[in-house]
Amino acid sequence: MGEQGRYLPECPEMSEVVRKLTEEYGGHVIFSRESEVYIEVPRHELKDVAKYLYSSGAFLKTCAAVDERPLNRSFALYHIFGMDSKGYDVIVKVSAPEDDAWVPSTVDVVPAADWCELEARDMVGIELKGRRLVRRLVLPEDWPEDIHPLRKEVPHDFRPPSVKAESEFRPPERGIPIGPYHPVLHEPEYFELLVEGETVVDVYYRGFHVHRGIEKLGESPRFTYQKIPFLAERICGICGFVHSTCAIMAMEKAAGIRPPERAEFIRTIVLELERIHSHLLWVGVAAHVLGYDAGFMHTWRVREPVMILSELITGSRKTYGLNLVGGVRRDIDKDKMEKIMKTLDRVEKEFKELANLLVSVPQIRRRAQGTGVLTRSEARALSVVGPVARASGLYRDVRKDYPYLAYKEASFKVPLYTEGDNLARVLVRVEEVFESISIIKQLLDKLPGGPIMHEKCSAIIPVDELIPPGKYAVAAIEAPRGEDVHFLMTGEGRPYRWRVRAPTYQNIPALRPMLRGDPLADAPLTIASIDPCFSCTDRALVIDVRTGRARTIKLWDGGVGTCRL
Amino acid sequence: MYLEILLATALTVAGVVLAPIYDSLERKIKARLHSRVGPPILQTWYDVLKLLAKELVIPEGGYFTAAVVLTELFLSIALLVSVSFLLFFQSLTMYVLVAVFISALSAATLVKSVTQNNLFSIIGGFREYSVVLSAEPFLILLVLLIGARGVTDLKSLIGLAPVVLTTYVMTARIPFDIAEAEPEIASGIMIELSGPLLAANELSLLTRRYVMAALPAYLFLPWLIANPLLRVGLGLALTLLTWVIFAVVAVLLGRTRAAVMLKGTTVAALTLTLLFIIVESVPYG
Repeated sequence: MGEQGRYLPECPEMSEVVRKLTEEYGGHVIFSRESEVYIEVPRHELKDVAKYLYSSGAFLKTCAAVDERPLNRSFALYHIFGMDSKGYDVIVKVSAPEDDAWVPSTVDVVPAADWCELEARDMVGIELKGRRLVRRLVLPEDWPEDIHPLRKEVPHDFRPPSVKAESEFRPPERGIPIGPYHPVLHEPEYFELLVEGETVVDVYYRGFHVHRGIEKLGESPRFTYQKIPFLAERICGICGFVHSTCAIMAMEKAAGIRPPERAEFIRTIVLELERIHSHLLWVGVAAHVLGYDAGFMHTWRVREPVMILSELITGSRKTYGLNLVGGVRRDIDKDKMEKIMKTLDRVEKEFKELANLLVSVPQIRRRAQGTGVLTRSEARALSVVGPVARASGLYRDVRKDYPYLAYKEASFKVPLYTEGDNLARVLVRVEEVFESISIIKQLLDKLPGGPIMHEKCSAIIPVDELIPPGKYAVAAIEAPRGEDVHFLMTGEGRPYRWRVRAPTYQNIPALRPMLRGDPLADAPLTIASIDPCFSCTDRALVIDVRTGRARTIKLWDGGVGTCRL
Repeated sequence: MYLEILLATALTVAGVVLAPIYDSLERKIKARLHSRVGPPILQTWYDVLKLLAKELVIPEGGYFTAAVVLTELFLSIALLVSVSFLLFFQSLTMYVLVAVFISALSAATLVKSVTQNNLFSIIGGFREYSVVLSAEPFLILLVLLIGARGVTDLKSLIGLAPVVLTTYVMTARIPFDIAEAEPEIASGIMIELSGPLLAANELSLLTRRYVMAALPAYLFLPWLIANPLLRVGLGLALTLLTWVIFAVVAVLLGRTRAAVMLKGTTVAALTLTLLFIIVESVPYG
């Protein structure tokens, strides 16, 4: 696919990795950009390559399966490894010919690859060799065996007939169900906790109940590059702006344009505003889970001015519609700046008092401390992201590791705790609220003048012509819940493949070590402590609601998205 | 004699009517402390009446549960009757009767939770068991002690402390609502109840709360105030005051874990009860 990018080494470490992969593992560079290098390796070397990269400090961001048969009669699987400490991505591609579609599994050496491998099998139909547990993760149980939604011949609005399938997977014993509808799960997900007395001994998870097929839609004729940010924004109701910005960053990389500085500042300000309201929302919910409703209500009272501020800046409390390829649609004037400063001062003062009070409530402290522990090594193995990683002593923050937009212009610290318990995750988020407030204030002070839209994009040329086919791009943003990754392969006027990996997707597998051995009473808090966002996680597939309604689906009736965590 | 019986009956009726109103008041207080507006003062009555108007759904295999829910309601009203009469008749038999009804009511709640064919309810039942164990024996002991010895002088008022503590626990307010614990076990012991059954359950819980708010005043007032009308007035006022205090305390606390709570409450209740017994057994003068 695409152009054979000439590789220009930016830093010595990167060239060392490239040398190793090309010389020792028989790979060749297919594309490169200043902080990304795409290397294709023979598939039998994949496991060794993954092992080498993972042991040399890389985190697995995700893997993306692509149906490349129209281009080169083969399927491809891209593993996106992030060298966090060095600030660049190594994307390892393996191809599998269409009549022999398999790739070796890397789960043994990279536990974080578990879900994305299963998703590749479900969605594109690439078989996995050398994996112990192979089962459906995303597709519902009545989906036909041989239809894989992300293959190019499957139309985006295709509705297959319902097929009666044998149950693939059942846990050996019945546990306590949490979900799909439960007072603390605000979205449908299913956890089954096996308990002894009040102690959790094991956990089963079944997800992907709500599928909207957003990745497939993005490739469909209904969408163009300029429309995709609006689609991406609807991936999530809380951190939608993260997704739209991330998708746009990938597209701008592919187009080779950089938005004006002022637009970058405005995006950064709104991103941080989103983090503040998301964290405040979460702190409130955590208090509610602990039965401390006074904390819940007051946190939301403190949060309200932030929502009003969002409306002032973007026109909406949520789902801002602010982003366009090449810039933003609304400017921040003097009057708005003053209001932002004033509101943030108030929020900062009020939240400081509230946060001090919250962590001093004995029930909250006692229940959050020492529960839901995720050790550093477990966190590392699963490549967890965001506050979950930072509470377990992993220094991971996209804003620092891969500085994007205007983050270089602000000085801020990344809260880091080593305890790995629920309290640490609370404290990380509480501190991040204050850091975000400080970032916004600094950026407003430095807000540069100039246009808010790239000149090329404001002209009559449609954006779709600016983005040539055959380009690759990976963009990552530190969302409130952690690193959000968008992988883009450009096509004619719209993405050839657009892969979204939301932070919760990476963090849910960490719930199993967190929950085991803890009291049942703390399980909802622990589940809530990763701030799960299922609408982000479940976004990947077209589901047939009409056939699903025709019969009752029992909870364990089949292997739909069932997964032993 | 007739006046007393009349007053006691009036107090019972007042209790049944007032309990849901006080609950609305509690919701109002809670809302104000949360910086919300809160519901109107009759909201809980509206809720109960609405639930009563819904169709009766008996949970799967739950005929026995339905029977126990109604028994629980009758027992809670019986407890209210006996406590109301306590304000005017201080024979030891009355105190024993109160103790028996308190105990029977807890037993009914436990039976109710285990008869439901639901895991959450059974977990809630076990949690209820631990709550009851940590407070009820002490409350019963205190009731019987006061009944047997009477309140002879002001130093006996030290007994108020363990009475208030144990009655608070018995109201199943935060942090002692672990048997219900909506965010954890999805309403636990109440999960299978709906419509009229839920209304009956709600009424018996509120009546129990009323009795528990009344008990500290009703145990001590008869020994201190001679005029029966004054007793009634003070009894009603102090019940309301206790309810309000309980409501405010509940707002300030978070939910605790079953194991932690059992230990803490038992130790506190035991210490305070022993203190009361020691103070009481020191000879007067």
